Amino acid sequence: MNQTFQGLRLEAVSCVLPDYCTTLEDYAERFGKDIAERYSKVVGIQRTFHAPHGITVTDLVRAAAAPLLEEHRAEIDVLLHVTQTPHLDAPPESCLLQRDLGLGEHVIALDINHGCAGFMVALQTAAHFMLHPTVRHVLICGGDVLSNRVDKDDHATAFMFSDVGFAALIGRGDGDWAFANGTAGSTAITLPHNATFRMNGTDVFNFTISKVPEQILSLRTPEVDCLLLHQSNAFIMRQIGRLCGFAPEQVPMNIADYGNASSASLPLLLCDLAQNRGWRGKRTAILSGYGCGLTWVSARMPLDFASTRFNIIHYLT
Amino acid sequence: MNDTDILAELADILAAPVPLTPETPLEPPLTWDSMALLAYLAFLRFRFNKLLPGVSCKDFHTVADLLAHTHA
Repeated sequence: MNQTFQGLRLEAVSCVLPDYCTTLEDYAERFGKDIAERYSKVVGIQRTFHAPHGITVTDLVRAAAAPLLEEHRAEIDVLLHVTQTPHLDAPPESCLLQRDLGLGEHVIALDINHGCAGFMVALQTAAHFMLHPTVRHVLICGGDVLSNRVDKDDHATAFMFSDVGFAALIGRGDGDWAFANGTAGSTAITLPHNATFRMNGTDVFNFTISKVPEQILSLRTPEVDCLLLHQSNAFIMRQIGRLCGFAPEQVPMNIADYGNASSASLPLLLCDLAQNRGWRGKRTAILSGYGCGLTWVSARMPLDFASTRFNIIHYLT
Repeated sequence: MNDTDILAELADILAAPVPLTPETPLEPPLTWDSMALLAYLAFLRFRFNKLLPGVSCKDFHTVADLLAHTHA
């Protein structure tokens, strides 16, 4: 399904990284130098960040959201919290965040159970809420603490995830956001209760090099000048960029520095481009998130690196 | 692509230090692991527009098994 929403603006994005880091050298010590070299070449990860024991997604989200709320706290009417790793099954963490962030009791608070496509799912949901004229701002927040939910003996996934919290403020502006979304129920990626993350790499790979490029191409117009992908795997991202006809420099990656940050991956890429890689001014981008579900959601949207506030914060414990 | 070209691509995927033949087993000194499998799947997708759902490394034993999907 393709949908276009008018008059929207990404006002601010903030991400929080824990201060514990695992490097490729640590990975090489665990699995051997040869596997580490191949992992680095194919998957592309050089380091990942981990929340220490006892730190939850809501802890990271509170820190990420704080700088976004100074001006607009009273104008937030919807709170969307994206996570697959809540620390409680009930109540919804979005309700606890309404309290902890000091938002009004009028707020609609929803948890969205999505992973790597989660930011895009929430962005599309936010756009729907913004159709109603009484909604002034939507706060999207979330992330996952997955580093303690992987099989430490599985070289393919042990070093994959960073625990990152994010917050993004959506308001009214002059941007047209065009979305395309897809869902194909599958257990190719699962996070069972009381068990570790599981992924059928072949099925996931086939999905990402067939469905995702097709969706991106359905949104591509001549003014699109960059493709911002969920940071899943460098090899896969290169294939998607190639299939969609983008030059490598139009498909920026930061998986080397941050690993796969689940639903925080795209917010973290945006913040990294603005804060560390010198992206300035206006761009027309296609953002694409894909993963567990299987779910894939992409959007063509204007980005303004001059007026949108982007910020990466380190969470000190 | 002829078989010589395909073998050259497979040699790159398998990080092969020796020339490949169809009989070469997928074992050291070749590197046949989940990452090589991804590269092989991408090779099939781009060169032959083919997807192989549900396969794993253990479904392939020799270079001939890899070649088979380039001909089928």
